[in-house]
Amino acid sequence: MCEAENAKSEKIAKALADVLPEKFISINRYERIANALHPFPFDIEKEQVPYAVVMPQSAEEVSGIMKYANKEKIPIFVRGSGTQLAGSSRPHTHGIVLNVRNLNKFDIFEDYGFLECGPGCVVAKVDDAVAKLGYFFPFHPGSRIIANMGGVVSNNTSAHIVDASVGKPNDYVMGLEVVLPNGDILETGTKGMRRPAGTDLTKFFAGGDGLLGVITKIRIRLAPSFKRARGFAMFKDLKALARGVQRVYLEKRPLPLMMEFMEKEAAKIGFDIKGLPEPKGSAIFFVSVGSSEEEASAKLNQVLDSFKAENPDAAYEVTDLDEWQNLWGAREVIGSFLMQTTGYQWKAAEVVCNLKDLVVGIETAKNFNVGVPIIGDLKLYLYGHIGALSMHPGILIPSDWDNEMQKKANNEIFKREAELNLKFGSCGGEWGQFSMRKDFFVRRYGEVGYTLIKDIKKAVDPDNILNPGILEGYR
Amino acid sequence: MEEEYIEEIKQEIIEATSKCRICMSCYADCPLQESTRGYVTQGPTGITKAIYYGILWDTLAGKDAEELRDIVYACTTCGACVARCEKSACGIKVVDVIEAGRKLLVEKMIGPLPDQIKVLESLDQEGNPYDELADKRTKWLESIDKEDAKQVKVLQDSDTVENLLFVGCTSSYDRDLVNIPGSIVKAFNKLKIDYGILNDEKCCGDPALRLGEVGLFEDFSEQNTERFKNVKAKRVINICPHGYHTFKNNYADFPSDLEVMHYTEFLAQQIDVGTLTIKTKLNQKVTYHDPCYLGKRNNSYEAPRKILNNIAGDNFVEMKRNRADSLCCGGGGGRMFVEVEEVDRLSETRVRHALEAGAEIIVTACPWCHIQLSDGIKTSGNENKIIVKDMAHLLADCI
Repeated sequence: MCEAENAKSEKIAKALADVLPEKFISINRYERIANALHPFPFDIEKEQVPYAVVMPQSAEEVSGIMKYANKEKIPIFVRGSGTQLAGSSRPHTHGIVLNVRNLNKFDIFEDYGFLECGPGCVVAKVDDAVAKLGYFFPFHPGSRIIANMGGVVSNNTSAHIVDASVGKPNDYVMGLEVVLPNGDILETGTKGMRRPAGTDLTKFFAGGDGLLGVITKIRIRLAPSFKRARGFAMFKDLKALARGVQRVYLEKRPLPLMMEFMEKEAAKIGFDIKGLPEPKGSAIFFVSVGSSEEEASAKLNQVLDSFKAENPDAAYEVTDLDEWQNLWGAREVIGSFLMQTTGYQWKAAEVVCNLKDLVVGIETAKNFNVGVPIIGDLKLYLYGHIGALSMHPGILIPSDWDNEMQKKANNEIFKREAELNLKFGSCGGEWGQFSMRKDFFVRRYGEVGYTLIKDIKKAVDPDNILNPGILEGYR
Repeated sequence: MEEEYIEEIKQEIIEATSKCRICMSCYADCPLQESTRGYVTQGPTGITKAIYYGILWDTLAGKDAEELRDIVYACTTCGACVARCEKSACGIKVVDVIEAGRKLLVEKMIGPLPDQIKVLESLDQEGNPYDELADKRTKWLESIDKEDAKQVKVLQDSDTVENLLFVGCTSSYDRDLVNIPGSIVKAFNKLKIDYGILNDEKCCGDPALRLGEVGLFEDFSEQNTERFKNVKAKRVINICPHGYHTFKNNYADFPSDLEVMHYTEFLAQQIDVGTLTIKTKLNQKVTYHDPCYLGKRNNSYEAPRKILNNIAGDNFVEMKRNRADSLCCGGGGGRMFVEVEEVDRLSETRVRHALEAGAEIIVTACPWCHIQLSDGIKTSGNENKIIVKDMAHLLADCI
């Protein structure tokens, strides 16, 4: 970090003081570093540290920042809490980090049937607020206690929610306020209950990987909450578990809202911590929903019927909420327990299978790292959102590996993830399409698909000012 | 030698911080997230990574160093991040890393904050952080009920006692809080237990340790340990949760047969065994604010609630955020001694929580929380709606 860089920081801060209050412009060295951090097990480079961090409070301030950045040709990196697991929220070069934390206005309009929130609102806080009023919130990432709404909408991340049950989260996004890279402010979508037919501009930005604009307001439909029933099954044979899930789809069962699984080795750890009996096989647990408890239970039992055809060791409705909390808790603690007991870093991939190949797919995911350079001998634990046919092979990476080794390991994980998702003709459903996954995108959708996105990006952001690097895969 | 020591601290920080996977979960629970402008460096990951990159990129000098100092000394050391990291991530002892960072900054003559330097000088010269004279430490006895005061055994060099009451600096010197030791003494007298206070009590060393002045802390640790051994007490009963925590967790040679208790734990035990009887009950709505150094740092949540259930019954209401989820008052980690810029004052937020619970009295069991919350009531203009009382004060009225 040299004098020239400091001078540039000063210059930017001075210029932006005309756009937003000085207290929301930081050129503090450590604040700049903190806004360049990434959730990868290796250090950031000095070149990633931004010149300044700005925290605008309105679309107008965002607009002013974008206009300044365009004039000066300075990259803008939009960031919330920085939890995106493919690296989309980290800068790859000097620029300005636009932290959305102050865009956190949140209103519930029950009489209109929607809520509006800023991109800086924390997912869990929005979820809790609408849940209190009896509404279901479709965003449920593992990082919900800190992840911001702007990120989950940009990624359209499903996480625990089964896509085929209630749709992708952004199906509930009715409209947006967006600042385009040139600073223009755009409103998309509708305030009515009927979604646009034909071109819906919302779709360019919600699930748009942050390429085309800065989301400054999100309108989400309020959906009535459901009654829930909870189920559990245990399969000695992992293949039987996969066949059970296939049956749920093929036998036209009502798909659960959430359906998680833990392969036996992972289940052993979680069950032990939560004081549950040692699992004899791989565990699956799920939530069925309905407008009444009876309906939810009836739907759940239909799912159990499919499982029972595969001779599970156990398959039953969980009525004891403590047992349920322990099962859910067992799934949640695996990574943290392993990191704490081994001192290693936990890094998971996202392997998504198609329905037909699920039996092969689950075995392949279990052997995710076999024969893979760098990570081949590392310990792996398998768990995931099996209801969405999505699996997380979690790998323990030694903390004492140097930065280069850590980077190589990280790259191998993304590479192997790409190979498997190509094999199954699928794609990740949680962490966006570009950044560390750009090569996958190009292979999956070809140069035709990639060029199309690049051309669209160029049309709205000719100088590649907004979030450069995501599309190029530098990050 | 000094360089070696500095290297050791750096290695300790790098080793611990390298394990962090930047999941940011700790930031969700950090009180600074709620009270500051929301910059990342005002949360646990931001603070620890600031120290980490400060070491890695060697920016521990000049303006950068001052910026780092301000970040590192912002932490209240409440421990919410430690609990979160243990529950959801890699189990980093985040507060230990931050305190190691402070140690490093003190060694490099960068820390503590300017206003905290006089605290260290006072600790060194008078054995308390308030620049009060050491020989006035037991003067509080003159301000309490004369009959109660008469029964307090003030232990000279060779005296021994079963229960050593460690009054602590704030309760000894803050005239507004004199009813805290006064009330505890009243309860102890009722119990007719063998207890006493030291004639030459000095600080537990918490402020020195939290500010990173380890050498000074070790002096307190050695001197207090030696004094405790001479007294031959079975237990040391603390008024202040910070002394309680420090004796319990930070003293290297603390006598293994000397039990450390907070007064709420001791008195709850007496209610349990029937030696302390509640004669009158409160008819005002009370709520309890968990001091971080009693609750989050030491998992002592139930004893104060046992007392309140006995003296207030149904009039005891919990705030929405309680026990491990309790919000810090903002006074720990050396912040009692400096003016900290807060967009939303933690103490005011906590007062709002108490009002939302319908309470007329906020009960706490820490002199610093008491001061912070009293200020919060004044600055939020709620003097006519709610007051703060220490648990001891409340209990003394009911026995």
